[in-house]
Amino acid sequence: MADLRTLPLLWDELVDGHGDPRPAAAALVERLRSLDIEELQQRQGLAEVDIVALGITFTVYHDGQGTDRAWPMDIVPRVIGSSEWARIEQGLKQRLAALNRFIDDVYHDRRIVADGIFPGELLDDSVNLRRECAGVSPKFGVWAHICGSDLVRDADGVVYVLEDNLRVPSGASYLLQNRAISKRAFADLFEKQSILPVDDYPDHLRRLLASLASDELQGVRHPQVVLLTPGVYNSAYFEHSFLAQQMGVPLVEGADLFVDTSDRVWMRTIDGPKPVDVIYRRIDDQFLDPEVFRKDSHLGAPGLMRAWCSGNVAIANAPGAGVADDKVVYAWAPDFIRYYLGEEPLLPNVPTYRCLYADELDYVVEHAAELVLKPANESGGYGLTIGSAATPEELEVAVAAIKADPRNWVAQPILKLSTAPTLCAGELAPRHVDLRPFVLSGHDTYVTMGGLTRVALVDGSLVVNSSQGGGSKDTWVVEDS
Amino acid sequence: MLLSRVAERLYWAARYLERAEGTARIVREHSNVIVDLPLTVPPNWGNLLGITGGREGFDKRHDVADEVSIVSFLVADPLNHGSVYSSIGHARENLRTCRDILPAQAWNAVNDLYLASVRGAADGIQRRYRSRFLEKVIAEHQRLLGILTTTMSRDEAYTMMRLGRHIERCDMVTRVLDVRAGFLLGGERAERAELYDDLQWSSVLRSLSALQMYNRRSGSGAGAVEVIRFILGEGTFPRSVAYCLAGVQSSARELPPSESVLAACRAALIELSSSDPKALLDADALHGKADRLQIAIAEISDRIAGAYFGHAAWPN
Repeated sequence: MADLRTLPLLWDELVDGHGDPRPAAAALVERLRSLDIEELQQRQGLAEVDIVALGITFTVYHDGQGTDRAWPMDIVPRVIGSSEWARIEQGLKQRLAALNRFIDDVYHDRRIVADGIFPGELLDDSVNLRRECAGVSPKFGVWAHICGSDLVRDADGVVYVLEDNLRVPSGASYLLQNRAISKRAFADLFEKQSILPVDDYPDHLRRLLASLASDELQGVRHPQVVLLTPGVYNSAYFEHSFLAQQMGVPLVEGADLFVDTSDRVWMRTIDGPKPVDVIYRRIDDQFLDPEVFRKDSHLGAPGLMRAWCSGNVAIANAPGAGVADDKVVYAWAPDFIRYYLGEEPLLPNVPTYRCLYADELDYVVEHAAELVLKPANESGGYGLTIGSAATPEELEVAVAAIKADPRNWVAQPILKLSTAPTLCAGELAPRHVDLRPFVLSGHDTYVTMGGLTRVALVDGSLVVNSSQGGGSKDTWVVEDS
Repeated sequence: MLLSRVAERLYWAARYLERAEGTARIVREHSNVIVDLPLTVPPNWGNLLGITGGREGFDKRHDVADEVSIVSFLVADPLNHGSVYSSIGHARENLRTCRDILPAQAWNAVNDLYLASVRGAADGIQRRYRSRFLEKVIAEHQRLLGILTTTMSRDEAYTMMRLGRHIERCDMVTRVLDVRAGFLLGGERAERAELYDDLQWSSVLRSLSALQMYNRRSGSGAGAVEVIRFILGEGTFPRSVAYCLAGVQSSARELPPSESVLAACRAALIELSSSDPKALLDADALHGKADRLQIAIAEISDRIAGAYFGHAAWPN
């Protein structure tokens, strides 16, 4: 019989400190305990065969060579009760509403700066601010249409927002694929209880994208949506291709598009040029339009910014949305919620010390060994120092860097990420997990039911990135009321 | 709606795959027939280079044109763009970016074909393993075609692949006819070689997997005129020039209208029907015919590129 081991002083997603199942996970835990480890390993093996057969891959880059690898998925799902999920969902909707209001404010009147809530100097040299976007008003006032927030749970059971990914977040396709696989692995459990569906994501995404088209198209033609990919050598190409196929929209590369002299976007088809109304772009701002941004980029198309500024094409996410996706700006997200919505945040931020302010800087310098030190504009964990794991020399270097450029550094307490039982090394071992739900914002806001659970497969590791040996799990939101 | 870029990749992927299969059939048949020939009749492996059009590339890198060097060049050489191995690799590269268009199973079949070629191409050089490898290539490509036929909508993407397949096969058939039949009709033959002509004419048919269908149709031995007529004009046989050109024409009619492509199709069909097979019983006449047909096919392909892949026609 499979044993569910937990770690002392850590929150486990399936069982509590006494080894009793958390209520929403009762059926799953009972099933896991009724199976022996060989049977589980056999189901895992079958799932891996399915993953290869379905061609679910991601691309790893090493020495400039891209290799397709089978998507790593652990069949043991992570479970969240539907009433807890409802609170998280509300919190995400609230947060995205405020973040979008902030972005819109940044590119218009900057009331939040005038009112002394947000320090304007942080905007002036933000690498993600796009001056070209000033004065543009995207439909519904929404800039970050597709957001993949990273949530983590600390030892006390509280769920925090760790990051807002507002530029080109990926992972939604894997969320869908994980569900397809876990339905096969635990078919009977899907019959016995209500596990809320995730398969409607592509429908919601397609409807959101179509809704972004200019109102002038109403009654003229169905808006033409395309998905713009940097191409087959991008690590997320599988996802681009999968989503395009699921939504039934063309998967285009920059060279397929052109912008005419009246700032309209067209795609090159065998039947001549066809108009394009909405672009779901999966390339960074910098590569979008060589007329405006990087001149050497061949990934986008010259003139896209002209077309977007004229309102002839919608781009999701909007150029410049990344201004709110910055580790320093993050610290103000709770203030955005209070300022723009007049509400208290439903989902907490991880407490964040802003080195910009002298008192917070002093605290960080003094307690560096207990904190995670994060530079503002790096992503993927680069440049990050975990105080407890760093040598005194490394800590000294980091502190010196902070003192030299305090406004570009923040620090956070070291979270004790929750664990979930994961099939590895011949047992169900507790491994650290995070959660990436996807939030779609337009006229309405939609949140995926659960999200992509990422798991650090190495004992004790906090690194969940699939490119660095992380795996994934299906996330079950189970009806509990 | 089909993007020009995607159309071009589908078209070329289909051509490359058809080329891999065609080359595999030709090499397989040549390996079989030489076993039956007496030692006085030279096996003439060089013939194969004429068919696949790689002689120049071959001569640059090889001093000796023997069985091993020629078969490895045609089957396994990564530097020969027309080799079975390279063709499959090119096809896969083209289709990698069309996975949203193809049925999921089709991509798996392309991958299986690719893996088979990576694992087996080197073995394909040795006579012992050759048939097994070449048959694997043919069978995997046939499996892919089965998947496309039974699961893919007859939309522009499907038509583009069908177009590429027929153009390539048409081209290949004319080359086989030109080189293999031309050789049989030519002057410089080994002594008593004519005793084996029936065998050789059958072998020409077999290179195109046409012998069985030919026999059913003709019910007689493999005479030169009948064979030439069958390969050029037998509209019911899918590896004849007539059938392939009809396939090209009907595909072109399903695409957005292009008078230039359709005119080139008509010109090729007129060229096909303009000579009596009896007049082609001469190496030069047959060679001239094959040449004109190949030029007509190349013209169709150029016009397809101009009309649909559109490099010249676009702004910017």
